[in-house]
Amino acid sequence: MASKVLEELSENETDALKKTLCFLMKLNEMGILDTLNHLLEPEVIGGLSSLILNKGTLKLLDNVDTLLKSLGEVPKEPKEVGVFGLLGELRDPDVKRGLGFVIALLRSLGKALKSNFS
Amino acid sequence: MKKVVILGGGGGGAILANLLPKDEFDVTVIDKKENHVFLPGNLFIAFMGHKKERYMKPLKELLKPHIKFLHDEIISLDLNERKIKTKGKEIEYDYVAIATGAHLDYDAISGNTELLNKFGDYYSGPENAAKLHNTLMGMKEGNFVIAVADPIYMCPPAPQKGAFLSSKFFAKRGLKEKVKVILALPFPHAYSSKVISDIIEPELRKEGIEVHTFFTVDSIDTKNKKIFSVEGEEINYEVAVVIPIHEGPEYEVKPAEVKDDSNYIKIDKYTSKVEGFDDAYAIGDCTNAPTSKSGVTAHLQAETVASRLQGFDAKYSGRTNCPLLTNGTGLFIISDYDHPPVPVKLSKFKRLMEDLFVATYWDAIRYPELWEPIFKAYFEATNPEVLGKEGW
Repeated sequence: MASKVLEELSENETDALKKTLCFLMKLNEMGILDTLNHLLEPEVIGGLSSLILNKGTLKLLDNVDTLLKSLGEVPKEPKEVGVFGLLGELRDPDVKRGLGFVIALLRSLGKALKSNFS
Repeated sequence: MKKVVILGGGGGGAILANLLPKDEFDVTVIDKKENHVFLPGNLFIAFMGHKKERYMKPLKELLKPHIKFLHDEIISLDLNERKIKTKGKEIEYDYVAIATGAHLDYDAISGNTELLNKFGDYYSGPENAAKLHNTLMGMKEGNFVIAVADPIYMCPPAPQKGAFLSSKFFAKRGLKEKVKVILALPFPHAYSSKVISDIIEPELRKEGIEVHTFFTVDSIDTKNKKIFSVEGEEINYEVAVVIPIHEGPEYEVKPAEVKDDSNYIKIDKYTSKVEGFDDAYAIGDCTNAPTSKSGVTAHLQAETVASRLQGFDAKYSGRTNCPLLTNGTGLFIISDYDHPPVPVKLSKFKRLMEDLFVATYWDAIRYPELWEPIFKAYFEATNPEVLGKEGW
């Protein structure tokens, strides 16, 4: 039966099949197949989903292109800024907006930490 | 064994069938079509030139092997006698779920059937979507009009999606200056919800899409290529799609009072039970539930009914998640019975999410138990109550 199936496969298919088998053997030898098999339970999938899909990650992913774009535009060697320099920078509306974001982030982080530790 | 008969094998019917455990339920699905169609695919066929086969699959393959599929047309349903009559059979049941979708009445607007036959559209099926694609490929100049005949239709953002995708299509063909995309809507804004309208209006402007508000299609003059509105306006077209009047199922349902004036099945909006019956449910586009006619509604109602049939007190919140796609970005229209749409900004990530939803559609139908916890986590994280006024 198996040899009959093999006979009907094209060269490309046989090649792909061999590679897949090789990959599966590795997964099997390392115990990954067994582990995956045991992990594939609705409770695990549900738990993982609710950990990954929450308000925070969805918001982060939604803004990932904005964040990465801004990261890409940071100069290679940003200039040093001291206390007086900071006061000067605060006149820049873009810096103000960025600072506002960081402060809002700090506030919500503080809130989350408070409820975590109290 | 409880005998469950599901009328209709669209998204709602197929998911419900696949969710019912085989050791407890004897399930039959009846559908007059052999192929299940992923309805939003019509947009991609019409405006992106996708092959129609990509969005069609034999229903038999989508149903788990233990489910019986009866390829037949429903003639009548008697809820008092628990009997279904098809062209070829008479079937009795313990429980029935009506999931036959909305009936599209092209004849209700004078000229609309002629319009459909001439140009195709993206509502009636993949064949007509492919026809619309051919029509648009042959268009050289003039107005491409997408208009709406009645405020209640499947997939509320479909006119806007059509406008954005067609605008991109014409730009790709180098006809941005020659073809004007016109969106004619029966609402006071570019979307029925002002919150969503405010978000997409700048995008519509950027694309050069002309929006006519308070335009409810009254009739179409195919000879002079004009669409007239109830409000007294008229728009000229070179090619047009008029989203037809939607109604509930055409077949007879006894007692007649379970259907409303538009033939929609009257249900309890939370449990999906047909009014006055404990052994009959209706889900998806065929009901009078005051929420969007969308795949998400059908899907969540199917989960609710599957749970109820297994003895749980499940309720559907009215949650919607209709995707609205623009040129490269997307958003979801998120609302429920207690919350109007929350503000949701357009982003590339949401577009990617929608593309993922589309790619995994067949698997979500075939293996709903795998996808249930994943969707549940997503719906909980984006619950309108959680998102609040700030939105997402």
